[in-house]
Amino acid sequence: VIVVQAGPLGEPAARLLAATVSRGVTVHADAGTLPATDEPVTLAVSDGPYVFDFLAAVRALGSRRFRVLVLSRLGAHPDARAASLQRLWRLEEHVRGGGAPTLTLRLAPLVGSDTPLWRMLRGRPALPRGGRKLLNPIHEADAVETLARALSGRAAWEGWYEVAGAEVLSLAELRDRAAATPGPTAGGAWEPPLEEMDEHRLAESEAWASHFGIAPAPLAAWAGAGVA
Amino acid sequence: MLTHEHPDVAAVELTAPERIRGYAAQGSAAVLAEWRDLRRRLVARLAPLGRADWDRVGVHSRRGSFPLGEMVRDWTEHDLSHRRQLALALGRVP
Repeated sequence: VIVVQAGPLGEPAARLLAATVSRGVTVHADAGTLPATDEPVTLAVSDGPYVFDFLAAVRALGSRRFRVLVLSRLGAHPDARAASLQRLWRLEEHVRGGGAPTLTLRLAPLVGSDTPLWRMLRGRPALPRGGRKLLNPIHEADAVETLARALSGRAAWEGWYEVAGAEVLSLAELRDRAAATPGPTAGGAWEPPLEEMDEHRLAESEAWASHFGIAPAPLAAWAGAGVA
Repeated sequence: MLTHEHPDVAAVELTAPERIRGYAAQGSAAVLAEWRDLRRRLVARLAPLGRADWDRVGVHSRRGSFPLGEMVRDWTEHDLSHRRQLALALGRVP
């Protein structure tokens, strides 16, 4: 399976794609390094420091058949307050209007003992409005598994899905869970940014879970049930 | 945005009926020529800008604070999106 990035993708898209390499996926930063074969490719699109030129990206693929993977995030909407969510919506729209087989994944906040968000929360940061914001975090391993199943053809390449856990937790609850798990705080980051999380509504997990045949990992399974 | 501090920028309803009425009656060559001229003038206006200019902010009626650099990338990606659609309509891409 060959993936070509539409540009220098930001996080978490770049990290998730990199994690699929161990699952047999080859990820190219651009079409210039593609092997001289006619193997079909997946064009990966997300936000990042580049201008998305769909037509040029497709032309760079030559005669290869292609499909498009949009790695978006929860909250993408034309009227979102966060500029990043507005741009993700535009990218989704540009691809939708581009006439190619497309799978769009809107990622929830990624948790797991080593994710940037978990490291940030582990440091017990102050939270806006006392951390009352409710979220549907998903374990990063489940997001990687989703990508791996999609890319390998184990799930139909169509539609859009909220890649989000079934559990609803407040940001404060997440912080307390993270603070109770041992590990580093270096490399922590608000991923997604707090302004994005502030716009999250409760996500619909079932459509994603059933389409990809994934049972999302409950937080208690890896972060313990107790709250510090 | 280049001459005022935090000016108001009104949202444009791209698909408003009064805006798209008559689109089908317009000649493609004339529309493309007008678009090229508008973009040429825009590029000429933007080309000399420095980093501080690109960071200038307008206050969009729907989106709030909107830096010029983000706005121009928005326009560019919008244009490029339509270019892809034009190529598809003309059967010139896979």
